[in-house]
Amino acid sequence: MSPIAPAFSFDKQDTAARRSLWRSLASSGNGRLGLALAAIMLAVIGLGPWLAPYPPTQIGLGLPNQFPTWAHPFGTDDLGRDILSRFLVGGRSVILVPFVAVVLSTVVGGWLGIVSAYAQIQPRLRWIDQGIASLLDLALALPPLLLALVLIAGFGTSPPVLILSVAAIFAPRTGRILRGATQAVVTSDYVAAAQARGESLSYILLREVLPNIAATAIAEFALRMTWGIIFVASLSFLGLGAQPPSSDWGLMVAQARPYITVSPIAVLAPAAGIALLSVALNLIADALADHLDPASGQPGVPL
Amino acid sequence: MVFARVIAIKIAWAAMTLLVMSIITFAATSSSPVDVARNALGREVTNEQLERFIADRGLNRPVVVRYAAWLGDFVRGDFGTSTVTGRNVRDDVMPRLGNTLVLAALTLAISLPVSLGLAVYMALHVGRWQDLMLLSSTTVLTALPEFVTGMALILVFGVALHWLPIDSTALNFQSGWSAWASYVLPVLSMLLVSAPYTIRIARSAIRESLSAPHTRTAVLAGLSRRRVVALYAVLPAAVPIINTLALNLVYLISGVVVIENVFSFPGIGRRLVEAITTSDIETVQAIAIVMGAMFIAITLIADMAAAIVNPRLRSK
Amino acid sequence: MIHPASPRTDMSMPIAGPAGRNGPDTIPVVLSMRDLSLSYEGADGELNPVVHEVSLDLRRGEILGIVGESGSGKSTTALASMGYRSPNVRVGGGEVLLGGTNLLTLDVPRLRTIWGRRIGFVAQQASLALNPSLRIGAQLAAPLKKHMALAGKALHDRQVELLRMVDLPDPEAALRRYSFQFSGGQQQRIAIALAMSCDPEILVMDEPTTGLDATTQARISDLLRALVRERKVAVIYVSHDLGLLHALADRIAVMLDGRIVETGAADDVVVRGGHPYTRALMAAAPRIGTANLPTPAAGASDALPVLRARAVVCTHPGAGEPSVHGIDLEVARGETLGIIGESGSGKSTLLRAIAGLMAPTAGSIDFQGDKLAPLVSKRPVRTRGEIQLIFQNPDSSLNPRQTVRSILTRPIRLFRPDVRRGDETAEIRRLLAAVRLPDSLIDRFPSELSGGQKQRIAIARAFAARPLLLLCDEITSALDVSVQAAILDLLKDLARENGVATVFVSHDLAVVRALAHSTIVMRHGRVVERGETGAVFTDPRDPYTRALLEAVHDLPPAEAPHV
Repeated sequence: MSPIAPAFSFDKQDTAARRSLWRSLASSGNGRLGLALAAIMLAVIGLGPWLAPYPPTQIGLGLPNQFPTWAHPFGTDDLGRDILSRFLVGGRSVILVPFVAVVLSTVVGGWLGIVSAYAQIQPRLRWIDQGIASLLDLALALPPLLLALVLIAGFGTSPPVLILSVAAIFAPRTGRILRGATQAVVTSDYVAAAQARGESLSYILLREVLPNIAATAIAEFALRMTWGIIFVASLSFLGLGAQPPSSDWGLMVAQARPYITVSPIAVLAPAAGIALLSVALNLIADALADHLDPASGQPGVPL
Repeated sequence: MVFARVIAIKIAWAAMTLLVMSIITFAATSSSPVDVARNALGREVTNEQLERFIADRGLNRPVVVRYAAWLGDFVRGDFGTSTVTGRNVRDDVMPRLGNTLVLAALTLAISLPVSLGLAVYMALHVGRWQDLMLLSSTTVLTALPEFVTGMALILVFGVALHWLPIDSTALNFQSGWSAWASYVLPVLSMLLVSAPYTIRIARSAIRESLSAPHTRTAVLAGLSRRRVVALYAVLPAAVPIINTLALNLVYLISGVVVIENVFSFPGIGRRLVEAITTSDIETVQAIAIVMGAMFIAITLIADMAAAIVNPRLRSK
Repeated sequence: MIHPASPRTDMSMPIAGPAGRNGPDTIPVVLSMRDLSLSYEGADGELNPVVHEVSLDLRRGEILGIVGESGSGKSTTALASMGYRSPNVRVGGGEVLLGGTNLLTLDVPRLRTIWGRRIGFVAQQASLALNPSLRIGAQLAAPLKKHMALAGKALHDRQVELLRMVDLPDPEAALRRYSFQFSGGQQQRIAIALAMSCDPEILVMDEPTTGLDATTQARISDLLRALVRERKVAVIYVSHDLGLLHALADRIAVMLDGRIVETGAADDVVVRGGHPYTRALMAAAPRIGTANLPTPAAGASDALPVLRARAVVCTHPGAGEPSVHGIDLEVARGETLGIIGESGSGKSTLLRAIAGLMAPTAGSIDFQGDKLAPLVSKRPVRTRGEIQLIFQNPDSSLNPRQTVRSILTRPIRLFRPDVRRGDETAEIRRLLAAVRLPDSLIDRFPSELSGGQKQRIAIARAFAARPLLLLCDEITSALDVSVQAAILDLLKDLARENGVATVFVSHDLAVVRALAHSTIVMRHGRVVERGETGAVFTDPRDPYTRALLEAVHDLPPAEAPHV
């Protein structure tokens, strides 16, 4: 074959800038807003117990359902407890239970998904994938809130029961997402190349697969945290999560509900706390999902 | 017949899911025979009396047999009697189920056209301010727990403006306008919580088919805007759209539990939570099975609808 | 060496020089682009120019080819010739004249009366360009109802007539079917029928046969020629394949970086093309007829073959028919065996079986005289290093999360006991030099490399293990033709220097002709022809091989530039 005419060099560089997850998060408006909001809320929740002017469970600090005063900036609740103090202390349980549950569900669901997708490309292991996939499908077909309520009805409510129910509900969802992400990776030729080198299973999963699904896993984690907070707060609101005298935000809303016309701030403060927290996380999850979706900027047609 | 087989598999699958749901319900909530007997007979009871009670009620049978008998009662429509209220569970649950179904149906009737219309509108304006504004609103709304949205609506329309009742207890004893007014805020809450998710999914499905090569072919064949949108953008996105509508419906079944409690709405969701707090096991079981069956039936119907509109399946 | 006649002069005289096949002076111009400039608008509002001052005339009944490599702006130009711009495309200047009207000034509703009626469009990949949710009948009916106001029996008759025109079997039944129920070639016929439905004066085709098998491509080209002859439609035909355009087009415009660097009658551009880019394209294009056969491998015949496969059968799990149906082959040291086949011929499956990624269901494979274990996990480390596989698409074969350094370090660690730990960097630099890449790329990620650079890294990875047998699976089909030539040269040099036995799988006959000492032609998992490469190409015995050869559009040799 004749050599290329020297007047021309074809192998010109066509570099696509590699976008790190963090940079794309910080570069999107929603992502920045979400990060800032989340930082504020985490600061309030983390420092709250030290800033609270009164013990959160002490009753009779003031008259019941008092309007805001200098002594009680958010007023008092039906038992005369200081709402500001309760608010400052009550955020921790709102994120702790979901956090543990989501970590658990990500680890369990993630490995189920990864193993399943990897088994799919091994003719002899395909039954593992089929088994896991059917299990995930079955678990996904069960109504989530109803499942949690039935478990709570049977085993009572306590942090371990809440964590296990939420993890059991989320794990198949995370599993399905990561199974899909892993499928795209394990069918690529660099995994075939690693197999042809005779690499071990653990090398392939840890070095070839995991780095390529990490972004998806992080985005899924952020999304699940949003849903986890909503889910657990809703259970507390229903009286089936945190129990009195806890000042959990969800429970605070429920307890202030009967006096909503007298003391709206007792409903407003904890409700706003939950709302800001989950909106912040959802903005972050959204920005991460945009980073993963290559079609997000595609043009349509002129109409 | 690939299509018939697909449908048959889906029905079998739904039946299996319902079976699993019933097993979980039975396993989680059924007390041990001794507890049941103690509950019924009180604390001061001899072992002899306990054993006789257990034998009379067939509580000494193997657990599988008891489960089968329990399930059999449900299938025949016998939901049993509540040990807490002493009332027939079926008579207690059914009127509330009616209220809940009206609530869900109203929500659905409004949410379907609104979500689809907004999704098409946003997909046609992708990247412009109308789309970005609506998209941000959906991001915020989907992240709000149902009870927060509900409370916010109560604070605005009930407490501040006095336009609407702050709860739905009027449904228990009134009819006419005040009964219907009781539906307004619950329906609005359900819409605000469920529709944004549907809108987002439908928007991206429609946007995807709008930027697909087949849509460009249609534009370059000179077809009208309306035709291109309906047949080349929305129709090929029908499967994901139906799936998300199903999700929406399925969601209504879950969301209804929280929303009913926010508004003290006399439906099965509120009754379920009451029953759990009062340890009314028979009622919990009945509502769990009824709601689970609704949930699974909706998923099944949506699956079949998606299979029917999918030409790849239909044409086989 | 720059040709004295500048591209600008060529553009201003698009039909200067020897007359094209249709005697262009007397034939009216139907569409004319004047100094057209277009840019893409990025998300941040920044404008990236893609088309610069393009001027072209299209005459009635001619096929005007636009050739260029990826990113040259040829598709954007073709779409703009219909007045169509994606929403992110901005017009920088110029006009597109259709019968005195500037299409760029019309709004979309006005353009809709022209699109489909006066100009038809055929896109790349008909499988995506047809609506998956509408029956073929409904898709064909829409423009006929809109532009021709046809209905009832007249509509039906026209639909059938159109499908008959593109030689689709059983048109009546086809109307009731969906696009995915047809083969790729049939889908493209349907797309052409759709574009031709209202008898347009102009047909714009954007890579209409790319991705189709060569024999299918040839049948579509025949159909197009017949349409032009019978209906006097003027065609703009965009392609990356200069050989195809030389065989099909009356005139060719060559595009580079958004500019037309040369226009002229097809033969003139190809044989006497003056622009250095055209000449480079010509030089890069592999040819069947004229290229020298590879020099015979030294001592190929006497020694033990490196690879010997006997009656190999491979069946994918769940598939009834084996995809490889009893194949024998032998490759000696320093020898290259070419395997030619179209999609679905089983050629890639055979390679994967040799590489040990898939166990053959029957038959035996010997390597260096010893029987190979069917799966790679059962083979000794040494053998794994000695058999190396290079994949079709480097985007998929290089892990996007690993740098060039870690991609190349791994095989060195595994297969090169002679390289001490810590000395890998020196070895990587040697490998980069061997594949003619600068050292500076060593800490780059694959996404920071061009397609050709990536494939060089994949080749370096294979040679890092000091292989005795190299398995190449369509390694240039994802690359532009100019890059392909360089990669093939590199591979040939490396294989010769290292005395490697190579199995080279490709659907591209010319590539195999230039590279392989002996050749196998596969179809439906079986060998239909085998022999020395020269014999297979000059004296094919099997009718399928002959059909493949006939479907190839070989370029003539370029003449020396006349100053």
